[in-house]
This record gives sequence, C-alpha cells and structure tokens, in this order.
Amino acid sequence: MRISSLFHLALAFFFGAILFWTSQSVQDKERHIYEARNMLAQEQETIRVLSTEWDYLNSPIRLEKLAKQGVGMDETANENGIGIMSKVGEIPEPIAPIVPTIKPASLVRIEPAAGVSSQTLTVPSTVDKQRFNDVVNSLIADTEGER
Amino acid sequence: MSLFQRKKLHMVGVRSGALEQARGRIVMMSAVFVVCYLIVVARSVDVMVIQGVMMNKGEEVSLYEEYRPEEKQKRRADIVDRNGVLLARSLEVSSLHADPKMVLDPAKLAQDLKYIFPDLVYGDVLKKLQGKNRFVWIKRNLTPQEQEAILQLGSPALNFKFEDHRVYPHGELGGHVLGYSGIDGQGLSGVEASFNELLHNAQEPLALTIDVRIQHVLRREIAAQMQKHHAKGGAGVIMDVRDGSVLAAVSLPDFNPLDYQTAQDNAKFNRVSLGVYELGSTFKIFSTAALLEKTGGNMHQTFDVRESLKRGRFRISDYHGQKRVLTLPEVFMHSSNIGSALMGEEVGTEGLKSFYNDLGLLDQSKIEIGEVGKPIVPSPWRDLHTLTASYGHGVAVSPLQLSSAVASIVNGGNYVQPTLILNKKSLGDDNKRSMPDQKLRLISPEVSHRMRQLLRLTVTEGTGGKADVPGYLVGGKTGTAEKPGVGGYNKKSLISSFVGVFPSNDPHYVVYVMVDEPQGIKETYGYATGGWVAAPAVKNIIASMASILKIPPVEGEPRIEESLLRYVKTKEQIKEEKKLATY
Repeated sequence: MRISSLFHLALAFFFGAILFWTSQSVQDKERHIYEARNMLAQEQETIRVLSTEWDYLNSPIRLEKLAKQGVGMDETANENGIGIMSKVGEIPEPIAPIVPTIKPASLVRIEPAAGVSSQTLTVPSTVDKQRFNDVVNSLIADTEGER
Repeated sequence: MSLFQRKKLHMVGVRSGALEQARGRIVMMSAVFVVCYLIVVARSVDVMVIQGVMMNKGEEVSLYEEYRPEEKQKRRADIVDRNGVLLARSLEVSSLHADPKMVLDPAKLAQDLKYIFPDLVYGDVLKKLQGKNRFVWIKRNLTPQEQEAILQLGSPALNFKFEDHRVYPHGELGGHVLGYSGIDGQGLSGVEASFNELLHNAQEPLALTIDVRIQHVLRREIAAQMQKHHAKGGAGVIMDVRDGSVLAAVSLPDFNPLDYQTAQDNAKFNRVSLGVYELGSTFKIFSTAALLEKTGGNMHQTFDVRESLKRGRFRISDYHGQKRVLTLPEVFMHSSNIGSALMGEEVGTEGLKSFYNDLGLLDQSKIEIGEVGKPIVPSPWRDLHTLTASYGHGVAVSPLQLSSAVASIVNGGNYVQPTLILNKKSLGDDNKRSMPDQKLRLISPEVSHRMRQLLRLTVTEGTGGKADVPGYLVGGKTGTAEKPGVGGYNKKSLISSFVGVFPSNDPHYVVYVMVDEPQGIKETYGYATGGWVAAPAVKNIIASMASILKIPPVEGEPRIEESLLRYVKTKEQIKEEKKLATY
C-alpha cells in the first residue's frame, strides 16, 4: 500500500470526523434554539395569562368591593353630595411623595461623641449614589488601613 | 487445510508483484468498507442512543420540528379601553377529546369524567365513549386544575387539543359594547363581530373609547336606581361632546360575554343602541333649539299654557302644570308640553323634521357595532306629529342617538357622530365606515350658548335640581315618558331619564341615564319621574367622574344662567300675580 493511499484514507477519516462533529454541533445548536424559542413562547404565554389576571384583579367592580369590605371606603359622592370639593380653593394641595432627602446609598463612619460607647456608628451619607462594589472595596480598604 | 488458515504462497518475479498489488487493493477496499460501516454504526448510535434516548424526553414530535412563529401570530387581537386596560384577549386553553376505540372501561371512565366535570351528564358521556367514532369532544376550555385531574386519570383514550379561548377580564362591564365570539373564534356580536376581520388579522390591540372606570361608575349608579325603584331595565351613555367618543355605554340587565350561551335574551338586548324609546321631555332640547335657530326665537317669547292644547281630537296637557303664560326659559325649565308643542308648531313640520334629521334622530345611528336600532318615525308625518315630537312622543330613538344629538347642540353647534374606536386612523379602509364627516354646523354658537344656559337653568331652578354637583355647573333636562301599551299610553309604565352636560360654561361630557319602568317609593313621595329617578344617578356619576378624570371644579362657579333669570318669575311673583287675578 502506498503512503499516499494511507494519507488519503486518514484525510477522509479526519474530514469525516470533522463533518460528523459539525453536524452534531449544528444539531445541538438547533436544539438549543428550539428550546429557547419554546421557552420564550411559554414565557410569553405566561405573561399574557398574568397580565389578563392582573386586569381581572384590577377590575373596578372588584376593587370597589374590596375597598368597601376591607377599609370601609365609599363612593366619591354620597346621597348628600358630600365627598367632592365644590371650589378650587377647597382642594388640598397634592401630597408630595415622601422621598428621603438623604439617600441611603452608602455608609460612612462617624466618630462617636464623648461619652458614647466606642462602638462604631454608621449613618446614611448624603453623597451621591455609589456602586455597591466600590463601597465594599472602600470599606475593605478602610478595615485594612486600621489594622 | 482449514479454510481460515492462510495459505502462504511464495512467488517470485512478476507474479510476486501482481500478488502484492492485489493484496494492497483488498486491504484498501476492506478499509473503505470498515470506514463506511463505522460511519453507519456512529450514525445509528447517534440516532438511537444520543438523540433517541438521551435527549428525547417523551415528546412525540421531533425536537427539531421547525418553529413556526406565524402560527402564534394568528391569534385574535386584544381589545383594550382608552387607557390600555384589557377588555378582551384570546388565551390558549386545552379542550378534552376522546378516542372511544381506546377506552377499556367506558362506564368507569364516564364515572371519573362526571366526577371531574359535575356539569356533564353521565349518560351523555357514556354514550359518547361507547360510540363508534374515533373522535368525540368531551369538554371544551378546561381549567388547569381540570386538565391536571384528567392527566391523573392516565387514560390513553383521552387527549387534549389546545385552542384559543376568548376571555373578558371585566365580565359584565361593557358586555354589550364588546359583544362576544363563538367557540371557533368568530365574533358574533358587538365590536367582536363588527371588527371580526380586523381582529383576526391585526397584531396590535384594538383600542376603544370606553374607559372601564367610567363604565363601572355608570353601571353602578344605574343599577342602584334600578334596585331602588324596582325597575325593569336601564341604560346610560357618557359621551365626549367634542368628538362623540363614547366613554361608557351601559345597558341593564347585562351579561358576561364568557357565558353568552346561558344569558337570557333580555340581558343580551342592547338598550343603548338597539332599543328605541319615546324619550319624552329630553326632546324639548331639540324643539327649543329648532325654535331659536330656525325662527330666531328669543328668551322673552311667551307661550300660553293656561289651558290644554286641543288639536283635532287630541289634547296636550302639562305634567308640571303652571297654568299661566310662560316665557321660553320657563317652558324649558318647567318642562311644559304645551309650550314645547307650541314651539314645534311655530317651527313647522318641515322645519322640525329637517332639524331632527340633521341631528341624526331620524336615521340609524352610525356607530361601529351592528346592534343599532332603527328609529320609529311617524309615516306619514302629520302636523299633529310635529306637536307630539316637540316633547318627545311619537318619535322613538335610541339613548345613544339622543346623547349624540345633545352633544351636537351643546358643543357649539357642530354635528358629532358617536364612536367607539379611539384611533380611527389605525383602521383599514374597510373599517372606516363610520368616520365622521367634516365639521358640520347645525346651530350657531349663540344658540348653542343659549341652550347651555337653559340646561343649567333647569338644574338650578327647574326640574333637574337633583342632578346638581356644586362646582361643576351641571346642566340638564329631565324626561319622563309613558310607554305605549295596549289601547294607548300606560301611565304606570314610565321611561324616566335625565340628560346632563357639564360643565355648562364649556361642556365636555354628556351623561345620559334612562330607567325603564321605575316605581315610585316613599323616599320620592311616590314619584318615579326623571327628576327623581335619573337625575340623582347623573349627579353621582358626575361626582365620581370628576375625581376619576381629575376634573377640577369650575373656578368662581360662574352663573351662566343668570341672564335668563329676568325671564323667570319667582314664586313670590307668581303668588302675587295669582292674588291680583282673584281681585
């Protein structure tokens, strides 16, 4: 047998193997895509069901019934027409949403005042929001510095 | 020598070379065959072991079945309200079918199915399971719990088919507007039917002008009045006077579109657009507007209502008899039939008829649903009909028509067409059948202003006092009509209604409430008229709307009707006049 024949045989085997491997890979990828699409479709269907349920749960009929039963709320206007402001001046100022002025974004150390136990106190800082990792790193650095 | 023992041949020379070559070829051919067999073996292992056993988790179909997203897209489009709240949606649900040939013990299976579905009849199920067909439906649209219970049975004869099922999260709310669709997903009534093709093909939801919150308020208040006055039915419309968009349309009794098959015909009947009624004194809005527009009538014009009006063998009298000479505002606020009939007479048959026609009262309403009633109009229209039509008798229209006509009167005089579709531009050409025409002026802005003043006057000084909401300048007109019965009108069967507009200085909304056959109660001193039955409902609706739509009260609460007060006699003046008359 000539060397070239063996070489060609090896080459054919090699390419055959590559082809087989490629075929398997493609099929594997297709399966993944199919599964992903299937999952996506299932999730979308679940979202559809949940949003329908959400609208059902938020039905005004149901909410009003619950508001009456649960917290004793009544319709806006009652028999005497009380319950609605008739003049612009009577309308209270809209209540601003309660937003804390100090952002609980990071913790800074403050020195305990005289007479207070030496336990470290932490309070929310007024500095801008920081990344969690940065805060952790800075705390680690502080701890190592103290050592 | 054994067959398997290789015979060694020793050759030399040319023969030896040929033998070696032949051997090499045999080896080569063997190797090729071995490789081929290996490939076949590898592929077999792949198909049978790797794909067949390891990956296959019981699916009957190939894992690599092509994904066809277009199948999902064929789903019927959603219907939402003006705020995007879901009103109708198709969800995938399972339905149960059976192959009777595969049933081992039909009696036992029928018993199990009866236990899971108590509403099924055992005999029917058994008959199906003992039949010769290979496919029988057992139950459509199962709940997940029911499906789980069926799976627990483990019967090979039972199978599921997944199909779309239309759900209506708000139940009865807006049932008549939405309509319903059948098992096969075809719209059968309401918007579902009239936009069937669009819903079938569209991807985007169809947005209606309805606001579920307002719809609920309207339904709640009409239902409350119906219950209070032991009424047979009710209807109501809330419309934006600027563009005719319907914010709420309620017909009671109503039905849940999910259970349309079990709903009674009375509940499925749409009183808002399909039912036509003689709506009584609310028509005086139109006869008065016709007088002001067509004859140049003015506020100090007077009408003698001391005696009943006799025309031929007919006699027209007043419900709230004032028995004196009334000015035009007084005729309107006291709802004088005689005064209105005289107005109609002055306008003339042709004038009144054409005015009613322009308002869309003599033709079917062009709203986007199929359930639209044809008005009942006298034919031939005689002069006497002009008199009765002036105060809302002899002409029967739907509450929807009346609401849109009132909207056209109070919005400055421009014709509006009622609509249920929020964004008509998004519709295809086939679905634009009810696109409103170009702005069409019916009455002058001055007459429209006068009408708003008169409506407000009716609430502050006249029959509509119970509809007033402080700060919101409610204007309106009461209507009480006797229903036609055998041998004439039945005095005990009333259609009591009230049409309100607010705020009167610059109206945005028309609120119409009609109660069918209310009964007088102790609280209303036995009265069941529009002012006692429908006006309080309108008041509550407007108060609720104000908070829901964040409508602030009108600053300074202007008295737009003030200039009309000089044409209206006070109680003291009337008493004084009567005293003088006795001398």
